[in-house]
Amino acid sequence: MASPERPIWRRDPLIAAVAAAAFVGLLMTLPAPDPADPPGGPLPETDFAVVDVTVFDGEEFRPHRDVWVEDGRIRAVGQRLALPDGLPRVDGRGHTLLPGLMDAHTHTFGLALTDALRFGVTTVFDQFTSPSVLAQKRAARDDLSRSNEADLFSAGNVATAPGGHGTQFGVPVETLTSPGEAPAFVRERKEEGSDWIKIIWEDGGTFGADIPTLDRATIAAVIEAAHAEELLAVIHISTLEHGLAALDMGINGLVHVWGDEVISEADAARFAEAGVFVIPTLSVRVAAAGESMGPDLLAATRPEDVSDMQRQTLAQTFPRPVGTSEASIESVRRLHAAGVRILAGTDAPNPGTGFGISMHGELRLLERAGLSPAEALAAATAHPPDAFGIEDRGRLQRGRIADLLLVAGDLESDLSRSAAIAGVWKDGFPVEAAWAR
Amino acid sequence: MPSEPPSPAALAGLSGVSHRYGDVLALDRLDLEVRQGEVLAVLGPNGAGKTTAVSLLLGTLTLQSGTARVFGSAPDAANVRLRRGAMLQVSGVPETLTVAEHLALFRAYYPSPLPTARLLEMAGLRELRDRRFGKLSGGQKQRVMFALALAGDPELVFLDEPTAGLDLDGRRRLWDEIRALKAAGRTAVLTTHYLEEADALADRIAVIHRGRLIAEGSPEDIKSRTAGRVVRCVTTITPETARSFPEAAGVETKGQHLEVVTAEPEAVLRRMFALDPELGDLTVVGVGLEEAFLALTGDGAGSDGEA
Amino acid sequence: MTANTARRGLLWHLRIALLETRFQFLSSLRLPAFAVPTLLFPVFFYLFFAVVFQPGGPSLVAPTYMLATYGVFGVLGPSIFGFGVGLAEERDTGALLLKRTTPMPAGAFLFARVGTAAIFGAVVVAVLFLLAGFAAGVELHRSQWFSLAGIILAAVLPFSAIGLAIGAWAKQQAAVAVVNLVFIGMSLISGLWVPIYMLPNVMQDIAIVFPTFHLGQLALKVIDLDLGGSVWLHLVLLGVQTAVCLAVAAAGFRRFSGR
Repeated sequence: MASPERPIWRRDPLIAAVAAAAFVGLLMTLPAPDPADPPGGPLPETDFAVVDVTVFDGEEFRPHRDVWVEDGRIRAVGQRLALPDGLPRVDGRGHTLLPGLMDAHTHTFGLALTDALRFGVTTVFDQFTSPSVLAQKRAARDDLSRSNEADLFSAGNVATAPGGHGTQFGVPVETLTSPGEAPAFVRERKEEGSDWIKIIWEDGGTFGADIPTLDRATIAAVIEAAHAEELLAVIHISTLEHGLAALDMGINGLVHVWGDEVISEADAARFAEAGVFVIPTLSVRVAAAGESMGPDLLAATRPEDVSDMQRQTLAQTFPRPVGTSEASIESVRRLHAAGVRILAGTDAPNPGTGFGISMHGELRLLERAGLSPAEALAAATAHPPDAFGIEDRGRLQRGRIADLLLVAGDLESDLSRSAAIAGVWKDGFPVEAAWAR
Repeated sequence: MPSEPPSPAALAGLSGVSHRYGDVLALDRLDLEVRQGEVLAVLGPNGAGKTTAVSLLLGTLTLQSGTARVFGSAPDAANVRLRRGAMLQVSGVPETLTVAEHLALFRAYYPSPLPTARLLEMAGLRELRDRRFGKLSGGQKQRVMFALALAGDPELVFLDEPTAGLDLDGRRRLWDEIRALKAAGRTAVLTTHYLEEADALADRIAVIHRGRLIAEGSPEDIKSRTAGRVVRCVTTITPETARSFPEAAGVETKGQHLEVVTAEPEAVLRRMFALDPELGDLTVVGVGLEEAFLALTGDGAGSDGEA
Repeated sequence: MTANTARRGLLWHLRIALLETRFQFLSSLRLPAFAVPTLLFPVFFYLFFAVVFQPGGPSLVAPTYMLATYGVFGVLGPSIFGFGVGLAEERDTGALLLKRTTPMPAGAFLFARVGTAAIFGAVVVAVLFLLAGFAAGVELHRSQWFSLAGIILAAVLPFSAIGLAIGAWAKQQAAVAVVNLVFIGMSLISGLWVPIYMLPNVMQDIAIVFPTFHLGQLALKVIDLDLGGSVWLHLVLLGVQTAVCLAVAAAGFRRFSGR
């Protein structure tokens, strides 16, 4: 027996420990994403990403997406994007990111665009405002610099009869009385900057008044003249009968749904076939029927987030109930079921509505009319720009303007979370708002 | 069956062990005892049940009936394994490890293993220590298996056909090592079908045939009972008469022939010619193992298996 | 022999287990037929499909997805080949029988096989992760890297059970064929090569019976790319499948020890 041999196993524990440590060390050196800040602090601007967020892209919900914003536009949307190091990141877990909302029916004045933006409405489709307002705000649409206002698209002045609906607000209104005036009228609107032509057909019958209104021949002539100028024509109506008549005249869209009766499925199919879009403005319809959502919306919102004007208009009521909300909602259900494109619009600042804030009520009314959360949100994001022929917004897609709304919660399962706003970006800039403290 | 009284020196043993593979009865109420410090050769032709008996003593086969004890414990008990080494008849080790690596692994199992150099020396593997097992010849592999059996410096070694496949030189060397084991006070059990090997190494030989212990004793004893001649002829002498010859160790009829196993063929022949001068077709041949077993059992069924 | 009893405590077992693992690993590493496909297949597949091709533009979904699936694939190989073919081979050559006569605890033998598969798996994971992180640009949270590595390495256990079941029953030559069939078939159907959502629905329905499917889904869940099944359901089915494999293996060994 010579000198004892060293036990061969002596080093095994050491080798095992070193190997395990090397493996763990390797895992530690692997690249990790830059830390993402939870929303709640100051939000990044122009160049940033919202990571691991549920995206509503304008049509569908897509979980676990990254959205990369560069120079105020969307650079990419996808899962696990290869984001550059150092890019500020917002942790989107537990949140839903969607295109800034589009209110397809407002009347802009005062702080309308600021109020709207604060509630995530980044673009409004105005259905009657002073041409001077439109001229003033027009440039901001294509400008990606910092702004505290929503972008504005508008019909500008409306086509109505002398003394007709629309003339009562103190805004100087050009009127017309005969079909022969239609081409010149439309040309003037176009020169003023109207993005489309809106026609008023309102005799006051539904609310017991007798208001002068355009005759059918003139309405038809305006529609024809608008199309000749390659403008869309939309129309204010209050009854199903007028809506159907406008459909026959070749109208492009209705800016209200009627409240007098429920449309038949056959007639709904005719709207769908003609490709006419409908902005039901259920917010104002329920308010007119005496069932305003205003008080509920006010109650659910922190007082400091609501402007005086929003508070005031939300609290207002119509003098006496007109129509029933059920008839309107049922008609919307049938129109939607038939395949008619529905656009979300509030008709703010009519009584019972508020700029911006009422869009969150409108979404829930559309849900009541049978739209799924995704369909209701599509009506408030992708559909309005589609309907009005605007391509740079309304969807979370590469190249579109980074108008974004970040909401805490999962809108697919609970659409009422749309008002739980965690952040709003306009052209890639975060919107300073009361809740961003 | 010849069953020795239990010896205080018994290190391991089987008693009353039967084992069956399907319909084949491999062991039939076998008693086998291994005594402290001896080399026990378990001798028998192929198929006699040697490997089955060893497997039961190693605990690699599950006991069906009877008892098997090693160091007073069950054969596969942990403390038994520590004190025992084994070289199996058919076995290999992973081919991609070297001789030295295999030795190192096996040495690590035991509390006081033999030094690697000593193991290499014993098995004649010094030049082959870094060769992979798969690159070795059959005989070299066999030597590795021998070294592995001794890695733990066991008190008791089972060697199942250890020299199978070895050349003459390898066999001699192994014999020397087995003798050295005995000299070092170790106990060894080896199975073989060579009487010569059993004679050269064993203190005691246990002869197994068809699963039964048919003889047990010193090599001289066993040899004297087997190292005879077979006298074969056609004769009128009855087997009963032949058995009465004092020199006859075993008698059997094969067809027309009568076979008498004996250590003193001349005396037997004298008696036979006296009784039957007309006997014919006479041959006298050396006894093969098979005949030796015949002689030991004294019974005579067919003669299958190799001689 | 008082020293013996002292030496056969937990430390002794651990020591033998580590040493067995070391030699088992060495022995496997020197076997090109085992080491080369085991280490290179998953790495080459990943390199080719996830790094060189870089499908999906700025999105890292493909390299991230494949990181999980090729990782699971990477431990499937050493686990079922090591146990399935290796065990059958050791049994056929008698090496297993010899080991049973020595003081080596049976646990150390199993530990060494599982450990060897885990070491090969860890090497595959290390290479895949390095490729993913530094060549494909995959970024994961620290906890995700660790969870993914943990799930992939834990897969060694259920996969070894499959190998054990095959090795316990099949002869060496048959084992090679059976293991290859299982290896390729399960990988394909469970979506370890081609994402499962791209496969026909029928195959997805079949996949549910394979542990590879559940481990793939658990690994993908770490990176939110799974089909959305419940973690508990995956674990329960995995447990049942492993138990079945172990029972099959146990029956095979009982037969082998001549009962």
